[in-house]
Amino acid sequence: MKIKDGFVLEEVGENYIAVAVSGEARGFNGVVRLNSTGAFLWNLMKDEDVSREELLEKLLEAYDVPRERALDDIIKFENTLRCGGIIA
Amino acid sequence: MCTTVENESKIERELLQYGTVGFRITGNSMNPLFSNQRDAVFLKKAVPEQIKKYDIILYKSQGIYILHRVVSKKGALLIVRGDNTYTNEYLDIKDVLAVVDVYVRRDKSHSVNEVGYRFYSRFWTFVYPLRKFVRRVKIKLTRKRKKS
Repeated sequence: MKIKDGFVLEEVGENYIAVAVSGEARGFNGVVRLNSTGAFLWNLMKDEDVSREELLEKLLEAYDVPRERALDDIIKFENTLRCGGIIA
Repeated sequence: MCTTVENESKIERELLQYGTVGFRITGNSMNPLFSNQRDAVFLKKAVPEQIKKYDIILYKSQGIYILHRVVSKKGALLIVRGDNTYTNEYLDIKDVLAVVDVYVRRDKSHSVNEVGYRFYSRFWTFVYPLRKFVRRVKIKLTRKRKKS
């Protein structure tokens, strides 16, 4: 999984917001709002193609959460990104 | 964890709900800083008493969102102008929806607190009379050339 080229993620106030500026992302005309976990995953998926398992391992290293819940969160996140056309 | 929202009409709702919003630039009125469909901005909901000269603000005029720069502030009255426009707009400070906090230009992010940006915004506003003069001369020359 990899975020399409052309999205820019920024921390604005207490939010993380991503918008599409160029490249493959241009078709997306909205705002993506993330919490800090979402932003953490986003940054892992921004430049390289990572698998669900890799995301899970990294998430477990960084956050103190049960494996089951972390996996659940990743799947939900993946679905949202896929449905928004943010990952291929 | 993630919500995606289609833009345009939802800007105000986003600001109300989250206090922040981001979108890609449409139009060239803020050239040379922003270019149509090339750049993007991230904004924070406006706090009227914190709005200052040189801020890039978002407001609505006749139902259209406009992103221009504050070039003068007199109490609650703001004089606003695009970096690439030659007319002033007058605005009540209460009508400001949001203020640019971060912008993306040619795929690179910049904060409005960066020295380079601060210099640009002050310089560009300062040389406005000169820019306006040069433009008038150009227009006159073009007209003369067309006549002859």
